[in-house]
Amino acid sequence: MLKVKNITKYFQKTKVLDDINLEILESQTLGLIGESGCGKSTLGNIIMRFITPTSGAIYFEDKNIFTSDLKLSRHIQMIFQDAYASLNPRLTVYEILAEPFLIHKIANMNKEIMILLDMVKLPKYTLDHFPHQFSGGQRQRIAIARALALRPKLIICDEPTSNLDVSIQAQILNLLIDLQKELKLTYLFISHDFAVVRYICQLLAVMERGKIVETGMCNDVFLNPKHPYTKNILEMGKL
Amino acid sequence: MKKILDVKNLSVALQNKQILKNINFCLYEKKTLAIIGESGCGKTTLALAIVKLLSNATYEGEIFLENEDFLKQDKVKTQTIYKNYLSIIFQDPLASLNPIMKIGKQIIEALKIQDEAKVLTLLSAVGIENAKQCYHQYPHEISGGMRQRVVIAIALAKNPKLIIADEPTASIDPIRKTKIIELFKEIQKQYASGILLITHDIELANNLADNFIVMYGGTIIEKTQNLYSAKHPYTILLLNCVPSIKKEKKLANISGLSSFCENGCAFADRCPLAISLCKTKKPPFFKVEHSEVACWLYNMPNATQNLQKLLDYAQSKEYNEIFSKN
Amino acid sequence: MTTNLYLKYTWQQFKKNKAALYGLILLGIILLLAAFGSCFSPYTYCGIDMDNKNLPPSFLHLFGTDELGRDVFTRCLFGIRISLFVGIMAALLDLLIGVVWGSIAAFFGGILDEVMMRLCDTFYAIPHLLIVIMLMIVMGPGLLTIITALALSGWINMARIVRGQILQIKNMEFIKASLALGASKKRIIFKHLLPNISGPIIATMTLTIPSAIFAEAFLSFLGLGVQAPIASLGVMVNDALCALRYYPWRLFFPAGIIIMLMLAFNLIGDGLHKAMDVKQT
Repeated sequence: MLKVKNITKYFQKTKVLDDINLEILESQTLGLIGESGCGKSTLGNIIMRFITPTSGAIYFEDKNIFTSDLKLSRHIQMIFQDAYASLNPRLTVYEILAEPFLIHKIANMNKEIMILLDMVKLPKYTLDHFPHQFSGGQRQRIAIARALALRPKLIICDEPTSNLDVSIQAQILNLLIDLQKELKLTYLFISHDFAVVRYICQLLAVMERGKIVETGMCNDVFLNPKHPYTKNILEMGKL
Repeated sequence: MKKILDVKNLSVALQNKQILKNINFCLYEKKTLAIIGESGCGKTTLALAIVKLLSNATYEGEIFLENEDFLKQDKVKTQTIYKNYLSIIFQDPLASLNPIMKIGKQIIEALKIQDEAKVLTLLSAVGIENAKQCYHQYPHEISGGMRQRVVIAIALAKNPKLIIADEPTASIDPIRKTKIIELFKEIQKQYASGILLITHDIELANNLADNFIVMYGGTIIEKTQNLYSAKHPYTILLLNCVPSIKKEKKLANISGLSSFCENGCAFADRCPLAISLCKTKKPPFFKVEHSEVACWLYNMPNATQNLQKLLDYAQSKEYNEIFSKN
Repeated sequence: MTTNLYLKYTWQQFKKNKAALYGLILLGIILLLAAFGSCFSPYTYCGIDMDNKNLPPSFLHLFGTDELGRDVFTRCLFGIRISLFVGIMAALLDLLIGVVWGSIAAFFGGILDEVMMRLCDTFYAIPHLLIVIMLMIVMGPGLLTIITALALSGWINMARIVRGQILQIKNMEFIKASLALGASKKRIIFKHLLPNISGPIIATMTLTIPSAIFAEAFLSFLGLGVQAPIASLGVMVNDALCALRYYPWRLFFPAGIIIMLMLAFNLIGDGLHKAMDVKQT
């Protein structure tokens, strides 16, 4: 579904991404794991077209996302690490969820919003409140509901549970898995937590300082790491 | 064995809102006690309360540091205790260090050691490889892990009897945090201090602590020596919420949000095994194997079967459906 | 619908701040007096009565009279109107110029940002008094000149604040999220950026007004302000200075009103700032 080909990115003189090649298949979850600063979030931002790469191309269903007139918003969406920062504090939840429908002039907005709330298991009264009146887990649910509004095929999850408590993390991870089954979604799951990645991903790519050093089925990488960096960080993760 | 810290019936209210109720525990020298809980359970408030760093707080109860009630000490005595008895390691090392002072100078000032050589030994003792280079650097020039080591070095230098560590690995890159854990293990071996570890990271607690206290809604709900055979429904569910790198399992779901409860058990409104008694009367501690558990379940005959039911139920879809409306 | 919800919410937070409420009440009283007070006064602000000059405060003349026998109380009421008018107009002009300048610099960034902010810095270096005097030569003395002069020296602060706020918000995730949903630049600016900076901007404006009032008073005090017989509070203070030793009420009343106006605006501005800062509540 998504092909990343030879993506390289320089921020001024620093090479942040070096010749990245990735492929994400339909209805699968690809995990992208690495330390802070390795460039995984930058890659996510490039796929979302927030930043342009220095060189390389990305194809979504064989169309180049930078050159074709693809309306990317209907196909790829993102969930951010900081749920609070990803919601406009001046808008009520209703307005936040209404925005995608207003932008794309979709009919039956109110009915659709109720469906979204139901999908993420939030009660109706949520709509009249502001983001700061909710807990971290609830805010992330609102963000997920918004991401689902346009029924995208691919969702990029940029460390969505890193700021959450353990039990709330479990809720959100389970929710993401249920949604994937129900809506046949594809995920690119960016994280630094091996255990979380193990739980939710089938495929895994390991990044070190802007390069992909290893890819494979999640279980294979954990049981038989091939690259020395992967071996190193798995060792460190074993307490 | 000597008691380093003895907290008796501590209740703390902040601006008329009750945060902690009836906290009782003690810490012995050379032992590590972990206080585990999620956000909102009051564990950080507890840490700050013990060291009297809470503003606008009303205290009830006693905190004994080696036979003297810390809460009743005057300002001078409190300062002496801060100087000689206690050390605190906070969550964010960048906030704990002065950003405009070089590391070496900070340590000299903090500990009033005039000797550069002593400072260098201290830095090497906490595992900083290039101590001489670090001595002349500013806090923002070194990595998060190294900063935390410097903070730990300062904390250890005065050989404190009690070390309180509040989420010591929270600001460190999770992939690298094992190194800090190893450092703590070294400290446990070499120093006779008692360590009070406050964290929401269950793996961290399990690795370092001999005894565990689980907090929920401002109260202690379980005290145990063996975390993985914990008995309280909340602890069991919590342990099953943590994904594991080693094995595949479905994560449990605890729906709803935590809250402080005046009557009855704090967890009653989210507990799948709650009975009417749970909602009206606060459970006392029952002794079960290695634990002391505040749960009415243990006053009833078929506790173990109920717990197994609990585990299966928490991982099932029906539980998620029922409790999702909260 | 929901802008009302936000306003309602902000008002609830504002109400909790006692100091801010007092400021609002104080301002309300002053405004009512300025608007309707002169209806209750039998005097006019320019009515000269040489037989009754320099009278102390009495039942007939609440604030006494000045050197031309004019009732100080009535003159104060008119003075409030002038001062408020000058203050608010200057602040509004500040707002207009500052917001446009700051938003363009922050939104487009890069070289344009650098150039615009360096122009700001250069302009900032020119002394205010010089600007006022030059404008007076070009435009002649008067209300318009004062307002223009105050606006020209005050917009830089607003531009910097606006730019800072936009830079802060520009990279926040909710802006990215809106971009991801396909929002146009226009939508982002008007629906997301501007509402989120309106809090600090309104709060800053409420603090700009008293400084404009004071600046006008100061200019009038120097003789560069509005001309007789129109009197702002500053002009009254200027006129009263020479007679301070003998007829102190002529200074104290207008000065006291200036102080109360500034206090009221400052309290309100502070309260607004806290109430609108959603993250703090």
